[in-house]
Amino acid sequence: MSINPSATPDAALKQLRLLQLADSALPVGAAAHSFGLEMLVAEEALTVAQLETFLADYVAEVGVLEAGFCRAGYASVAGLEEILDEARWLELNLRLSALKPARESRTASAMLGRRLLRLLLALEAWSPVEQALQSAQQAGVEIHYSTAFGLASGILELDEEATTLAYLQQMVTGLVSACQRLLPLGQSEAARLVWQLKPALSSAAQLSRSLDWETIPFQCFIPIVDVAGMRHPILHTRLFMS
Amino acid sequence: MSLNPAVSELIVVSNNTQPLGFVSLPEDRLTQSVQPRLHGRLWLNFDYVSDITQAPGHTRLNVRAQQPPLQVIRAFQAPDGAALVHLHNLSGGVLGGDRLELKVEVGPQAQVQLTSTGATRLYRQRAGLPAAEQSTEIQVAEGGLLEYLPDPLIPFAGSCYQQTTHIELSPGAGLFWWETIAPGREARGELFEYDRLQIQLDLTVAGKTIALERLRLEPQLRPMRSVARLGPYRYTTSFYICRPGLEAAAWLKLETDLLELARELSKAGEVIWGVSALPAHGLIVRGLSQTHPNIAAGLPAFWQQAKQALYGRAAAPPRKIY
Repeated sequence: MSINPSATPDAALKQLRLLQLADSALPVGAAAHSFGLEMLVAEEALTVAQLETFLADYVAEVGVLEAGFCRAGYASVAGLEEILDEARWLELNLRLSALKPARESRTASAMLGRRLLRLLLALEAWSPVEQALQSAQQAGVEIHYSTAFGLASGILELDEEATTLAYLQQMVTGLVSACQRLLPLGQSEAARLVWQLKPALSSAAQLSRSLDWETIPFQCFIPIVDVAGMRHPILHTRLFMS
Repeated sequence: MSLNPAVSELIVVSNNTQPLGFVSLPEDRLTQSVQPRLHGRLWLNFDYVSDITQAPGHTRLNVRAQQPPLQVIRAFQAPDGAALVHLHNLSGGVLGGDRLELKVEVGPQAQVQLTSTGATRLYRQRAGLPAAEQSTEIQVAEGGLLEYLPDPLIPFAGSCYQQTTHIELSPGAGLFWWETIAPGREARGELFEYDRLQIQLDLTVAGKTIALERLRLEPQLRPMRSVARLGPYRYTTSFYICRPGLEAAAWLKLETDLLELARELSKAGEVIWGVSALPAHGLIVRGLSQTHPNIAAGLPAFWQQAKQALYGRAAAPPRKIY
């Protein structure tokens, strides 16, 4: 994403904030999770040669789903001065939890989501963020990364389309980064992969636009990744958290 | 009682003779006169009968309504007092355009095993008819137990099928629920040639959602053999094991124990099993396999171990295929 030099200071600030939110260096712990990839590689179900197809199909399934929930999180609040729609916020996180059968991936998503909101709260005392964290804690509901990312962007009044694309971009970047530690995948090839996946990300963002999280017409079918995530705890030597 | 599938009449075989909501619609008959589209309905209610002169009690089947092609004949009483019921489809499978409704109510303390008499064959879609639909509503009351153990779904080439399932569990209820999807008529080399298979499952406890499935499988649009979907496997199965009220730690313990079984039963490239605690009240076992026998052998193994852990007794396989 480029910074528009003619943008107003406010617009430039928003772009910079979105860049930081989507930066893989954001200290939320994203690098600690492989979302099932480590087990897939360990069982030789995923190789470097298969990565591009794998990631494109992953984005077509999980990417669309998470992008839809990112948009739903975005719509839970409309700016810093607004009050969070708590019922909506809790329900969409509850539903996203129910759509994630693998505890490992669900917990990872919840850890990242909670850390992201806590990080934001440490940066600025934004009341909707505090409200989102407190309401979820009181209700015993997990906060997912996609909904938290969307909520953060909604609070900061960032552009919804840019937010969704940035979310998908960081998701793929994180997966490719995990693959670099699991497979003989060099930096240049990793960069090429992420570059090649841009049309898939754009397509996923578009598809997610028409989805309604309340009726959940989403479809997501990645059973081999789900099972890999479920099996990850039995892997003897692990680079990533279970 | 008429069992002629061409006659769309309401059939009530229960002692409770009230139709309770299932009504034969005139448009169904009209439709049948020009197009053989069936609207099958089956409404089963189970209650626990305890007679002070007889111990222990047993579970009684009340057929509130049944309309072909869906049918049950009778309930068999298991040694532990549970009712075993075979679900029949007189058509031999789900025909393109069929609309099937199944409603099951398991009352307090009632114990029920439901199974099929064979694989559910999903026939080729017929021109001019909508996709075949199966709608299932399940309610299990406090202390009730439902074990739903059907044979696989086999989607034939060109089939188009939509299945919606809503399971509501009360606190203290129990559920063992599995479902297996085959790639097609494998023996004749028919793999993933169906048009669309749409599966929707909502599993709730006291109104709170604990599991959702939203599958829309369209192999021509999204290849099933993708490394992100089934990879080298052909069959997929999901097995939900729930008993609301248990602490999260108990589910994590059972997850660990069943994961060990999963490890023993798995052989990468042939069959793999995973186990995971749901957000609350239960866990899911998911399996992928090249062949059906691996699935058919694995599911009862998980069922046995989980039943023993949760109920302190062995699972009793339904008499038919085991």
